[in-house]
Amino acid sequence: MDSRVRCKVDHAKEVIVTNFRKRRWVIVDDDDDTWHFYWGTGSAARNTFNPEIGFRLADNQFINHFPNHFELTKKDLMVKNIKRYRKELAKEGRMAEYEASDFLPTTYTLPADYHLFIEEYKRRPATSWIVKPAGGSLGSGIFIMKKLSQLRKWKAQKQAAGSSVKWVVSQYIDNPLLIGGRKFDLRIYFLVLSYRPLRVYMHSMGFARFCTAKYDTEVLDPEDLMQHLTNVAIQKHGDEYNSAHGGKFSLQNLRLFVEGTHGRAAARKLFADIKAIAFHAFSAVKNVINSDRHCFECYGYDVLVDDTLKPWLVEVNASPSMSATTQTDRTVKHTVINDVINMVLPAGFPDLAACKLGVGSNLDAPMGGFELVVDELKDAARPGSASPRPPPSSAAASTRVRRARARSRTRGSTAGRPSSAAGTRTPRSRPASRTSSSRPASRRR
Amino acid sequence: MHAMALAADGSKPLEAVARAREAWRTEVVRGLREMRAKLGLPWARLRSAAELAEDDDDRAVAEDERLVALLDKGLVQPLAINALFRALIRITNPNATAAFTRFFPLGLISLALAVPSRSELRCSWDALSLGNKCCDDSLAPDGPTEWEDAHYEAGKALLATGDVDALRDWARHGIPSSLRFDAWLALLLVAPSHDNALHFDALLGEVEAWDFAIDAPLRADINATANDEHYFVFLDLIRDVALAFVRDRTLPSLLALPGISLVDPSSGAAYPPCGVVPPEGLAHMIAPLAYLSSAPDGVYSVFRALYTRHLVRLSALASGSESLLTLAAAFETWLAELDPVLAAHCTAIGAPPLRAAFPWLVRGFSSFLPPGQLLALWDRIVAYDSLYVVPALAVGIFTLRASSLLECASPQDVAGVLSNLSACFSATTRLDH
Repeated sequence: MDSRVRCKVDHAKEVIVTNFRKRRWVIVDDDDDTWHFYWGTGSAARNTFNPEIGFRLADNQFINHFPNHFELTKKDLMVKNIKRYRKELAKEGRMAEYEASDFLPTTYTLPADYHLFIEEYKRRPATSWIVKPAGGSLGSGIFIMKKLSQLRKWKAQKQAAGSSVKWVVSQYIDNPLLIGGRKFDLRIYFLVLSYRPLRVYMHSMGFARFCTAKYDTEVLDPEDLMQHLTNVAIQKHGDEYNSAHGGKFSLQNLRLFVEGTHGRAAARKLFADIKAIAFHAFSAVKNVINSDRHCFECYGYDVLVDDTLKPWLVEVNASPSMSATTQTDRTVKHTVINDVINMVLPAGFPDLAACKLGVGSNLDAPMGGFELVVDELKDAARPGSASPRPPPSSAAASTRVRRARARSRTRGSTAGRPSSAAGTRTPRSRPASRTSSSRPASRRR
Repeated sequence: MHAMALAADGSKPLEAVARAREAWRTEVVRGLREMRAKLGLPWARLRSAAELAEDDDDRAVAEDERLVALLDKGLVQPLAINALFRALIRITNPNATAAFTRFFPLGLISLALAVPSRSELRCSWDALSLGNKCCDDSLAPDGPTEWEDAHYEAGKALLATGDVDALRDWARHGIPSSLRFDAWLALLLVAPSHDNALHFDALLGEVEAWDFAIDAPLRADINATANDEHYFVFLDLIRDVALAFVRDRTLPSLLALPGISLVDPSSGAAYPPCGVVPPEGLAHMIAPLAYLSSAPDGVYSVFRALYTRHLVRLSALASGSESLLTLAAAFETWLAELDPVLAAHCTAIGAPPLRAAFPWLVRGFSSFLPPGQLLALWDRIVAYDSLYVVPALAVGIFTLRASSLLECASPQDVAGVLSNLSACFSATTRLDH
């Protein structure tokens, strides 16, 4: 029999297939179960583990999802799990961790929590809310609401249509950090090798996704989704979409910018906080997820950063898009998948005996662009590394404020933004600044 | 004429260079006049009250559309790097006979110019030698080392004291991103002052009020940054700084080498007011500074100092030290000394090394390196107060890629090997040559 690695992929995504080809793996047919490595959709993984199918994975078969990853990746379940986790932290008196895990905007599930939401809505009349389908993706079905009547009308429509889909309504973060006057969110890849013990790595090749339209800090125009939603799937349909860069900006560049404009301590804290988000979100579900040793998962975290440099978790994707829109995008995704495969495969794969220890058992695997978030397996050897988040020291915070003060002294009012909240949002730029920005570039294409 | 005046070090410019510069000036001016005639615009035009009353966005859109139409018709030619290259390699010394020409006959620069020897550089750049730590040794965010923390704290303390000499010594080991803005201001001797902000605001007022014919090629240049994955978000900032720059009348007296400009016959004033026709790629030189500060006036102050003191030399045809001419000669000389086989091979297949390296030199590597690496390179320019790091990096890239280059059989192959430089930087900034 052919001793080569047999692999399978659901949708022939170019970057996945090229990775397989580079490794000289044989790609098997859709209905062939004799694979060693399967990069599939979430439902493909659920089917693989469906007891009715009666299919048992061999020691040398590995798949890119945990069977019940939806505990983290469906918005309503994620919110439920994280709320419960924080309640437990509070009960145990772990207040530092309780504070550190406060990264979800206030969120309610509809229709179940409708009345709770109404109460909250009345308490905070100035807040805007964003409504999303619990299981949707690519920005479909999302709208932003300020008035309750909008929600009532929408609810009546859903009821009339007999829809039983769950929705979530979240506080809309209306003070995002703007760069060049534009809103962005972050897509960051986290690899989970195992939930128990928890083993998580973050990839350095994340990116920021920018809106093409300028963010209007004065008037919130809920109709103009171009300035609010960063999904490339949405932005792609805009007139100003630029196919040279697709509105994407590397994480390294973001860090360079934050260091230059907000200082070193602030940049370090932002990136530590982002790692902390992943640590707590994974911790919140580690006991409910079926931590099968045939499984690994590369999650795409969507994180929004506000103008106090606090990162908020928007959602977690189990199947982050692996289609590439630009050359850089292709390189990024190709590299991430290559690094994932290296980290995941046991030494000696696909030899049956060598694979007994399961995913991530090769502790000498090259990490590529991955860096450690938490590895409870290694913690035995290196105690203390389990808490990835250094408590935000007051020294760091005061450095930031000092810098901000020094800057505004020397450079006028538009300088470094102090960390206090409202009122300090980006001043509407000077009269000479233009809002038509990338027009010529996009038209030429 | 400027060019015949004594250089700052008291030396007389070479006659051949002065002649070449004058020819180049004539060419540039002729090109500008042709462009202006085709555009059908006056050099400078005060916008009417009606125009100013229009919505900002609408006008910007209209201007962009007009420009795109002109670009499509091929009417606007930004001051091209290729033309500068031809002007540079045209320079010959009529007195040179075979006995007096440079020992290395493969180079494109036919003047025998004194350039620092590699051992001289090694002495003055001792901080860069292997074994000394530099803070961009790992540009990847692996987390700071103890040395980097200490280096950062030392820099912060030096900035507080205002001791520029000590700061310069410190900066030779690299500048942490978070101190770069303040350190560059100090090392470029810009006094932080509220006047800088007022000055910039006044220039923006002029951008608003005056329509310049020379804005057309500049806008084409600016719009190119909208397609750059590293800089597209900063387009507005880059546009403001670039358009303000050409209107800055205080620049001519600050320029380290005289730039090429025209004289407005009606007023006798230089045109553009900044005293230098913006070279192709100016917007890409501004762009990296968007990472230093989000305050446009701060970015402007740094750029103004950096350009007048250093970057202006990169497109200057002059015989003084550290002009484009001497930097190009340094590149050819060092490469020929270090790897004559490589230099000869490239020349033999019709791809003389200077041709590939020329855009890197003229632009100071801007648009060729990702911003983190580019700023680390420019840290060296600012810290050593010298542009020789630019040709040194160019030589480093050639030697790093030597084995691939020696396999090339055509200029296209060479271009392919040298198309992505982002992996070269950390390997070559440390001077092992």
